[in-house]
Amino acid sequence: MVISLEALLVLCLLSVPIYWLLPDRTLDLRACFLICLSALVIYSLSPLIFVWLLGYCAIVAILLWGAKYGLKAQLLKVLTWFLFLPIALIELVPKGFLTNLVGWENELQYPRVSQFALLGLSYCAIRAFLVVREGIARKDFRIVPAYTALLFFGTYVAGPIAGSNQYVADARAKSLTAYDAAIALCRIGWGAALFLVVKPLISGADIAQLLGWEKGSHATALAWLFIYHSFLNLYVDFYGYCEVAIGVGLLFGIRVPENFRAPLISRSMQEFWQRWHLTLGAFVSTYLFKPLVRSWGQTTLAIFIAFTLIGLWHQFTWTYLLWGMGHGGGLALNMILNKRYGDRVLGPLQKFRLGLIGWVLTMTWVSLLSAIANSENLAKAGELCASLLGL
Amino acid sequence: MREFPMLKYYGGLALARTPDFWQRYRFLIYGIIGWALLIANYPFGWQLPKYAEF
Repeated sequence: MVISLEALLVLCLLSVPIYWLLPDRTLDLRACFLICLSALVIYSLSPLIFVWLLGYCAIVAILLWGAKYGLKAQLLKVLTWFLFLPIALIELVPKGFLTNLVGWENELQYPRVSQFALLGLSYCAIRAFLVVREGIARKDFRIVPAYTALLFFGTYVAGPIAGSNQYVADARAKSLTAYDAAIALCRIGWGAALFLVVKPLISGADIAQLLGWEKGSHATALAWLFIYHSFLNLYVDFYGYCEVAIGVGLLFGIRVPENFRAPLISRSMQEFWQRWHLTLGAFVSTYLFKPLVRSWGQTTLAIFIAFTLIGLWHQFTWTYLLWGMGHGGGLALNMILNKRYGDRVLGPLQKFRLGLIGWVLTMTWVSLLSAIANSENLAKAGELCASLLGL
Repeated sequence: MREFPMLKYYGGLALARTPDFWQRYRFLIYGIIGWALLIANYPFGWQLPKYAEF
């Protein structure tokens, strides 16, 4: 969600009736309306990001046009990888350079806006990639669904990542049923409650005070609790956001894919990635892991490289590089252990014990990596690791 | 006797008598809890400037 909950509800209240009153088949007016509305919302969020997105839209149009009118598929596939270049540029170009260049000094100074707007940009890069790859596969020029996928305000910031397939007129619902509307409102309510009520409760909690510990004591224990606490925070925020995105999508007849399947009960890294951020997992599997396995034949190395790249996709920083390597390494180790011990027959008690150990290790590892990734810089991440070890 | 898989997972919970109960009604349950939390918290503010103004 790129706007406050009240504003989102008012926006939906005003725009949903107009959307459904528009003719179904004429020039795909509904999708055009959604594009204009989303553009307006993103412009009000940040003009700089809006201009940036227009750039993406132009590049996507050129690549799709190339896909339809005979450019070589292999060349286009290589070009699609350059859609991720702006994410690296954001980190490499000195802070403030772009905003000073265009005279929007205040644009990136509001930290909450800049952080989430820029996050939205990396999701936009992946969506642009998917949209163009779908266009290459079909050799057609479906620009309206492509732009809806790129700009749809419901999923802009971090919502499930998907190409343009569910935005095509035939894939969208023809009318809004009472059931869909009810489910949409329920999911918006649940998601909003997660990040408006539950998240502030969790993030505002002072663990040391709750446990009655004096200030300065139990530093190691607090550091461990901090990493679990911050991961829970991240999950509630991200899951809540995706629920709202899916709900808003339903109101407009769009089936936004599910992104979570109770990841907090995962007992291994492989299971974790089958439950956490499903759409990103699907992207990694289809466009990074499988091609790498096909060319190298080594699954463990392929998963390590794929997740290292995904770490850099999140943010082009050292801490996210460590995040990617940690996840890739964890998955590779999981694969090796599965290959070696996976076919052993275990009794129910052994299974339970192994599951419990696996659950603790998985949750600890992903929480630690998430805390490292969200550290300001490598030195801060190092300090955190040192305090975890009691140093 | 017909087997109900949900009974296996949720023990004797009367609510889970039908196999697809959770699949069918979970969003309704989530929604009721969510809106109840939001409405109950409204007088205290939804802390919008800090938490939801992306």
